[in-house]
Amino acid sequence: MGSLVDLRLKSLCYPGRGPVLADLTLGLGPGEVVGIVGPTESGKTTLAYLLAGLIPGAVPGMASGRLVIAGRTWDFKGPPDRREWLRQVGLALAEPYYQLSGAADTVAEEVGFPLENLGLGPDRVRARAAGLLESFGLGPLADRSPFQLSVGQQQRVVLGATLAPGPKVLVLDDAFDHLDGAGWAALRRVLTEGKAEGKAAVLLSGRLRRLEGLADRLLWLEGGRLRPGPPPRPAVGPRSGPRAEPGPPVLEVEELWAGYSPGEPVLAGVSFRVRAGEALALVGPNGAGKSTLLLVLLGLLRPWSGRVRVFGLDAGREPPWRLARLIGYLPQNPAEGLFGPTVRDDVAFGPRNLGLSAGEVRRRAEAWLSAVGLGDRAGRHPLDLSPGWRRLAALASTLALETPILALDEPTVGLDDGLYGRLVGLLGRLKGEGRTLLLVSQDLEFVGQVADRVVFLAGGRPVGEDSARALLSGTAPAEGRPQPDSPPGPL
Amino acid sequence: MSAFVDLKPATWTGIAAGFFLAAFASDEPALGGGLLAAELALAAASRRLRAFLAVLLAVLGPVAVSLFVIHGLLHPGAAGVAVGPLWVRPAGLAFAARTLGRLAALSGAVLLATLAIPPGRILRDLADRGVPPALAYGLVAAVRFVPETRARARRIIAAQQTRGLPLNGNRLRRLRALGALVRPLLLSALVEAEARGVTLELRGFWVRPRRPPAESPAERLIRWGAALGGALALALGRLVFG
Repeated sequence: MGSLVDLRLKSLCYPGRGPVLADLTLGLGPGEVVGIVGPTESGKTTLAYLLAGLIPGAVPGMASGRLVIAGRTWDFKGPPDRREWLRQVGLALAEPYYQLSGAADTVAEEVGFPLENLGLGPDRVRARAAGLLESFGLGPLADRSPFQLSVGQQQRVVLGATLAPGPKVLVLDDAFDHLDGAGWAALRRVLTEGKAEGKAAVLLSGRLRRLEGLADRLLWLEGGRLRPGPPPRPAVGPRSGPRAEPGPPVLEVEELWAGYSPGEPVLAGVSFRVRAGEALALVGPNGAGKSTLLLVLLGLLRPWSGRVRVFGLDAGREPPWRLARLIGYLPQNPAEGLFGPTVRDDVAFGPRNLGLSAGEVRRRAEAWLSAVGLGDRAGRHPLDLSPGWRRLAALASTLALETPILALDEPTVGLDDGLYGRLVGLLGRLKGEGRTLLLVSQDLEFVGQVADRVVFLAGGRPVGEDSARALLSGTAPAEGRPQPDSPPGPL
Repeated sequence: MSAFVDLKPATWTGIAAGFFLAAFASDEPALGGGLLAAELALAAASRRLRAFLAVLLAVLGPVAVSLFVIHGLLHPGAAGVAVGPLWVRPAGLAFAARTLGRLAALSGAVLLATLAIPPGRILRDLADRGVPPALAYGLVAAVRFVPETRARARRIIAAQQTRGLPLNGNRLRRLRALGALVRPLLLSALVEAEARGVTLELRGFWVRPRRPPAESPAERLIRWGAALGGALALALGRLVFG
């Protein structure tokens, strides 16, 4: 079997920094899918940029060595011929919003955009885009603006656009964290078809379990060097606990209807209750209304009808900053709220808003920075952190409010195995202390480990409820409920 | 109907130019009304009627009220009739109707051009006609990202409120809150600009080939016919009405 990808990298540096990657060799044969697991800041994204022909050029950096793809050699002395490289390597990254081109008005145009740039005629562009939309279940959304989709739907659009030119090598750098069950199934199908056509794929992630079952071979990237063989297996902790005995209901939702445009409800008759000390997960396909539901609970979106009570207060009438004393919220894109000159300042922002004394603000900031493991990074600018650490910085700033309820939207996105373990341990401890957790996540491993109960949402309606144990054991969801989002590999 | 949706940006510009010029042909209310009706029909054909009406009413509603109140009651030198306690001047009302008709036709022409042409299509059309992609992107980005920036601003406000940031209170408190909203907005815009540049590179936009868009003779006829028709109407109007 001839080699499709042959990378021999001596070193790769960013301006003013030492080597990020060094002495790295990577070979892939036709039809091979390689998984590369590495902790955060180990150089995964840099490797992805290199394979996609972005360094040097679009991303400032210097590399020495050579990369051969399908017999074409590139020596890193300058950017590759982009038009040719589009057909060689396709790259999708972690944050889908930033990978929308801004040059397309509809989902169909976004997927067909690279083909237009290759000079294909409108009919061929439309036909190819239609096929990819079908593959990723985006047909009904074809005429919508890609900016108006949920993050999970945007991730599918990005995957479609990446695959449009038919690259010989597909590189996915954590480009699956937001996918639901249907999205994962589509990705599996695409990889299987690609293998049959003699194409190859490089999948990069901080989570070993994400890649198990998808990749033929696993490699371990650490300290800028690629090591053969399976990476160290992360310890699977026990289900979090001990669980405090659930108390009275602290959160009550009754027949809730809400949405963004009149006549187009996103939530259509949602009802559930959460008791003090309980951990409830909201699970469902992309666009099911999970994040919207959190916005209503936080007082950020007024309900059309129905009742939402937080500790007896009507969340539909209370201002969000008053509810902030009761519910701490980790948004889906936490980077958007971070703005302080240092991580420490950002974590202190919330307690300061609550009018606490300077000493108490300092105490909380240090305590929660240390709890999430950011103590030694507290002096850095939050946007200089990797996405995983940035998410934990945002979590620390949420935890510093010390609210009785925590509402966390996709808290595991971008985390590596180490950070994931830290998060699960921390949430288990908080639950043991009696905090109430409301989780929105596509990560069933996480849901199974942390949640007590799961509410399934689909099309803005609750379609079932189960214990998290049932979810883990595979007996949930029951017949008639939507298949929840399932990452590959064992849970 | 879909034929209108697929019209090229240049054609919509030609149509809008035609309406714009024709609106200056005369200040007869019938002309203004006729042009507006045609603009409404085209907005409906391009599936933008709701947005067209919403913006038009938002822009012209207050203007209409002011025009009728001021000229209906205070139009200089016009005779009036008593309507209850008010002294209404019919000539002033007619003047207000003429002015409003022309303003509506002019605003409708501008709206037709801006609403019927999605920004992405303008961008790709400019690049296809040979405008350097970076320049085309820069020209359209301001329009393209206004709604996205507004949406992000809303998300940032929401995120900061959930961290206890109050948006009420005295001026000093609100001024302090402004920093917590503006700074992340600017920072995220910088992050986004950098990431978007990488995305456009990955999608091959910077090497997009110049390719004058293929268009049918009918579309060319519509474009030039509308623009010339508007110019002709203007010339005739000036000749007939002075």
